[in-house]
Amino acid sequence: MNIIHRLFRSGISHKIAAQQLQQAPLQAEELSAELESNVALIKQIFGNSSDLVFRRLTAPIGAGLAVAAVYVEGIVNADKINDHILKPLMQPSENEVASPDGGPFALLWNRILTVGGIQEVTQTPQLFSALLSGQTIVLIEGCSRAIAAETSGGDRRSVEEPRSQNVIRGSKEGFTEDIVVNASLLRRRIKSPNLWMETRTIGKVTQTQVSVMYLKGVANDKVVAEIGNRLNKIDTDSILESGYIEEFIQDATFTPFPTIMNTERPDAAAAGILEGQIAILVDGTPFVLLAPVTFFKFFHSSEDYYHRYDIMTFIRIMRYIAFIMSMLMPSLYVAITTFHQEMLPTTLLISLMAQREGVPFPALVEALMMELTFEVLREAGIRMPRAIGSAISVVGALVLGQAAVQAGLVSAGMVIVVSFTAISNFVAPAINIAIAARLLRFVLIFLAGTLGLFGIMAGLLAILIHMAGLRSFGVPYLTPIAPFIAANQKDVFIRVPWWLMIMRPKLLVQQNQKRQGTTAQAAFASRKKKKSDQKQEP
Amino acid sequence: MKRAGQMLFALFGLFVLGGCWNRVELNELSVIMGTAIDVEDNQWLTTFQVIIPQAIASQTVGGGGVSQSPISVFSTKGDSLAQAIQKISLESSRTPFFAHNRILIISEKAAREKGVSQIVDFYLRDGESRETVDVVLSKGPAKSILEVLNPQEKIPANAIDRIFYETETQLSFARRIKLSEFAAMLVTPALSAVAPEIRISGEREHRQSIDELAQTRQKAVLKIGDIGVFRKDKLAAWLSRDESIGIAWLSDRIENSVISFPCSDEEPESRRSTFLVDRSRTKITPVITSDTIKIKAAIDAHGTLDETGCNVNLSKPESIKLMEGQIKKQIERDIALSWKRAQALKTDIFGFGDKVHIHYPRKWKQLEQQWFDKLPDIELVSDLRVSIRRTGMINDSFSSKVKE
Repeated sequence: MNIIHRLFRSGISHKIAAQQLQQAPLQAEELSAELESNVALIKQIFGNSSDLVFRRLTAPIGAGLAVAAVYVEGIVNADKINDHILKPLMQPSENEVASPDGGPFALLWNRILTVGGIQEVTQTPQLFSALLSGQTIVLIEGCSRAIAAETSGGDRRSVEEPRSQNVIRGSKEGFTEDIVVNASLLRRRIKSPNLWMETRTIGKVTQTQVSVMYLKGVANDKVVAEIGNRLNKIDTDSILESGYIEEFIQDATFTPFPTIMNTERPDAAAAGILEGQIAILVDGTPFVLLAPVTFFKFFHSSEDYYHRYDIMTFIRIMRYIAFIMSMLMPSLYVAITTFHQEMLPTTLLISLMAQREGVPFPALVEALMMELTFEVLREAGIRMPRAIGSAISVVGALVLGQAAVQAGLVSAGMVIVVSFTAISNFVAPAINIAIAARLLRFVLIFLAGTLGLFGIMAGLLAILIHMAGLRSFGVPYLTPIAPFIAANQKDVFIRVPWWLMIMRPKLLVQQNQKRQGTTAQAAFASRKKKKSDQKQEP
Repeated sequence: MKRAGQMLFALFGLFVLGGCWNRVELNELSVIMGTAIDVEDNQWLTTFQVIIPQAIASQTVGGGGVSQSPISVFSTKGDSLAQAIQKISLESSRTPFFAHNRILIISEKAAREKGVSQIVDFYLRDGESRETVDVVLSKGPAKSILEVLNPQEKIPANAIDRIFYETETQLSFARRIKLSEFAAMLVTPALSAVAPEIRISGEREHRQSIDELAQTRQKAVLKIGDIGVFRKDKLAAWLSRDESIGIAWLSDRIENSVISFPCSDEEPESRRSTFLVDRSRTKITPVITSDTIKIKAAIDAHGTLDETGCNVNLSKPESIKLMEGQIKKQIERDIALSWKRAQALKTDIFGFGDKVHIHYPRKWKQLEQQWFDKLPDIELVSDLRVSIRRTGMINDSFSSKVKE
């Protein structure tokens, strides 16, 4: 693995150094006292971009004060600018006009601009970052300081039901592309001052806001520090999605298994935070990262905790089985039908034999062919314009499935196996773990086709060894099975009722492990006792 | 970089050079469902019943009906069994596959002349064939058994296996003997191996034709016949069906059985009733005194009265008692018949030797060598307890109502 890693790194590193020179930050320039030269400077650096708005006006202050409001169209709240910046500037009340002590800057700062978030700007880089994050810059004639007023806004997608990770019961809110909204969604769920948030800007060109949110006192401080560390080390020009961050900070890069979870659901993120996970919010994407994470977390849906525990335990176990099936079904079929025919019941063997009669390809090729066909179908289904999406299913199901069998290209059994595999692949609540199974499936089919069940066993062993070695921010990937933690078993394969989950999962949480009092449990016990007492009485 | 390439190459080689191990596609297999072993001109003649999958799973291929025989039979000859089996590749286009072999039919001639130990050795030694194969004997040539088609089952070998299963669970007088059990019986010194016989009843010449299946009544059917008793590894004698039910009673193998018994000692034989045994337990205890060996057989059987032609009032406990007494007598007669025959043959087909071994381990050491010779002197004492648990849907016998 390391070899391949090195292979990628070595050739590229000095090229990167050369490229980065071009993106070197703009030289800091002091603002001048002249309004027009400042306007010219901004225009020049922005290349006269047309979405940059310069509103020059003369405020009726003193002998008339030349002021310019500069903002970027689209990312600002126009009403706010009109009501709180332009209007007070143009129609200042009498006494404001009468007392211009302290110079125009102080007057504007103290009395005219009715905006909450306001800051002083004297240098260009500051000015640009303020401008680009939606603030309005107020330049004043004869003053080398400008005022940046918080007016960000503009149209963004509102909070909608998440498209992925659908649930039947539970919150219908989903994260949006706006990091402020996303943070507020979490704040509304965890109303605690211990919900801490650290924000940094990553990406030299994109200047993307990345926030780390965690529950102080529950999240492991070392992990928080480590995540901060890794985020600080990211040196790239762009962050467009949380996937960028995920790849930069994950522990192991050469693995099909995800070591960081993502979710579109605020309730899932809140639940994670409450169990000591750390959420990483990235501006511009509704997918919030959660770390550290274990393998089993990917099989837990937030809905597991909303429905009855007994039913969800069953469904959860079914998910694990479906995952194993989606990884193993085709390879088992290939191995058993080409190497271990004695394992099949006679009648099944006979009907499989009859199906294979006249099929020209070996089972291995047949399986790879069908799997590939399905992967193409699935990919096409995602990319297809929605209007012709249904055409794909018709073509896929009828033409490829039925016709291929009738034409004698593939056996009917193989079609059943492939379709079952495909369906069971969608059961996993997290799509990134399902993709891992999809990828490993091909390796296992190949192993099965060459070495039979021995090949599958060898492959599974290799996968298991690999997984046992994985870590997510220091937490072993297979926790709490390997290493085995008895106390955490309440919420891995089964889900015990809420009143029994008194402790937060160990290992993720080192401090404040208790999550609830034992009163609910005690109440349950007393109810039970009462019942049994009643029974004893005749 | 270079090392990575080498490693990848080595991994790739692992798969490619493995040559796909012993890969056989399903459509390259000929699944053998039944094997018959005969002796001809002092050579082994092996016959295989091979299935034709398309003909069996006809609905997936289209067509259907009885256009194609679901099985095909190959016969090969050789000096040894393995040699004869290998010769199948001279005429079959597919690889023979023994793992699903259901039955092994040994002809009387082979079992009497050559003995079965070589056959058992071959089957146990071969990795592909299973020890769960049923061992069956045939009085005529074994290969002709495999040629008979069954109207109910598409695979005749399966049909034979099912016939044995039905007999075993419904009548109990013959049972499936798996190769592993057969081998165990052969090597147990104080036990005589047994195996059931299967025969073709009806007109032989009609048995092979697929057109035969279009008839409602088969001209030739397979039927369970006698029980073959072995001495050492050679077939020694046959027990008839009447003689063989006693074996099941004495070796605690009764699952269900039907006992037909006369109404009373006085009434004529023609009027009989039937008792359906639901459950039965047999406990064998040998009692050895200084000079005699006694075998005590305590049998506890209960079941249902299935039919009666007798003029009895079944609501009275006395008449039930009377009937139970008759059943007892009938079972005793059955047991005595088997026992006498076994004594005459000097074979222990009930496993009494084992019981003696368990109860009298020290004395057994002296008895072991001459156990079979001692058999005629052993007294069998049976102690039966029969109870009629249910009398069915009606109480009084219908014939008694008619007469009134």
